[in-house]
Amino acid sequence: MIFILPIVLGIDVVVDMLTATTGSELAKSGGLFSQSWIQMMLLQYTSIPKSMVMSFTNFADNIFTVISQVGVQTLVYLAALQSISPSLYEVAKIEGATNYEIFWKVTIPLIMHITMFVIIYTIVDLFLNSSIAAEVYSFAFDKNKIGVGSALSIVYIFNVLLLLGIVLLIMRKLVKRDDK
Amino acid sequence: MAKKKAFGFVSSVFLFLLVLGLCFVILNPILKLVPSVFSRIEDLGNPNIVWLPMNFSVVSFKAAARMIMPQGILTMVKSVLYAAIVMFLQIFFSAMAGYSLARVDFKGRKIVFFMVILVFLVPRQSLLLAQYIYFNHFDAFGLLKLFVPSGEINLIDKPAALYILAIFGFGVKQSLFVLIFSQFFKNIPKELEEAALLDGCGFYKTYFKIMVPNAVPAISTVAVLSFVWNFGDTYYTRYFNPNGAYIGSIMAQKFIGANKNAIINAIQNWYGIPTASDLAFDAVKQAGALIYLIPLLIVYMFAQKWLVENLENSGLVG
Repeated sequence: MIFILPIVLGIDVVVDMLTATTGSELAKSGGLFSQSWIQMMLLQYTSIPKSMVMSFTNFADNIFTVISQVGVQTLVYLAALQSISPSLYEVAKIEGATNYEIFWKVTIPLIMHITMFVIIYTIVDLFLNSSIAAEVYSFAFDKNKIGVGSALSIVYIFNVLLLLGIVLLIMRKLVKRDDK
Repeated sequence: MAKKKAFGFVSSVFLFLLVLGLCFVILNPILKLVPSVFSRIEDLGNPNIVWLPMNFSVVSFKAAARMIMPQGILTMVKSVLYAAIVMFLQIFFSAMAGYSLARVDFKGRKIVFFMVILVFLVPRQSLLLAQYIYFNHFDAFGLLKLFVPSGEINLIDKPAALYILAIFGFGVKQSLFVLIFSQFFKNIPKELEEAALLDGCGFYKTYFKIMVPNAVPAISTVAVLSFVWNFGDTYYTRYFNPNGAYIGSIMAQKFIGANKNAIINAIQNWYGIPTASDLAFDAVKQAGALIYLIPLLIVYMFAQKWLVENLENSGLVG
């Protein structure tokens, strides 16, 4: 269960502390892949186009960034999976379903409530840690223009709400509602 | 038959390598700072040291402990106690809020749900000024006139402000916990409630005796998240209680770039090492971060044991 570690290590305080001031960024293990011999081998000895190799390298370099944002969702999904009663799985096994079918037909529909919540959380969290929110904050407190900062934050809220509304409308078709 | 067995073997090897790779990526920051934190200060900057220190010594830890824990081990105890109290407050009130959002059909339920999402959405810096002014002249709707002659008290720089924030749902990401609890309580079947009603339970007994034991996975999730976020909370503690003994914010305030020369001088004087340089500052900073992480790792190990035990008894209780 090392996967909870990124929540612990992803807090701002810890990231600041673990970064070395002598130049290298410690908390992100990025750059490992692009400096390795694998990328050179891919470029020279296979005929994969360069843009594809570069985008693949980009993806592999940023694995840590992705994983460090995924801790909360992992915990919530873990708790949600525990609340499925095992009798449903036994019934599915008796009816002769393979593991693949059990996953798609039993587990996934029961998790849809939590998936909707996880989508809301991820969108809002990504917006809160983005450069837009940092810009709003710097307008209000660093440049001392509190009026502009407040107006900016209201426009920001409206935009995020719009995005959330669109995403939730799409998701509503997939979530089974059983309250009348 | 052999083909299926071979396929199973190959896929399990592949999954094992995948998980190993992911674990390495996650543990990489800690592995990289082992050589600089556990070696003597004179040895830092030696290019021969890559994964293991040459001479093992805990000087960095002693220096960091002296700098970030001004009251000794009491600072750490106070921080853990603060995080634990706020964690209990948050769990208690968020669970009640989540239950009423999920199960009680009151007028305006959708509006309240929307407002919970809104609380989560608004960046907390935009509420900071209003909250600060309110706590500066805190008068609890005029009720304090009975106790204090001037009618208002100044709650800044006392931990009571932070506890009040947690009780009313504005702690660190607390509306997230309300939403988690509401989703969990929605998943519990209605038949349990009806059975409790038939057995003669009122509203509160149903909640405390039947719903709460069923939501143990959700409570453990929220407990871990809340403890971790409150232990490392520098935002609220810095604005509402700047002189308190919170290890997270002490660390964030001491180890900034402007203090670098002062800290290097301190290391040179305390331990008699005239060759301490920028690398010594890095090593002490990282040692401080590791000291800060110790309670979190202990909590995380307990949480893991508890979560895995729950995994074996999964399903509905009772």
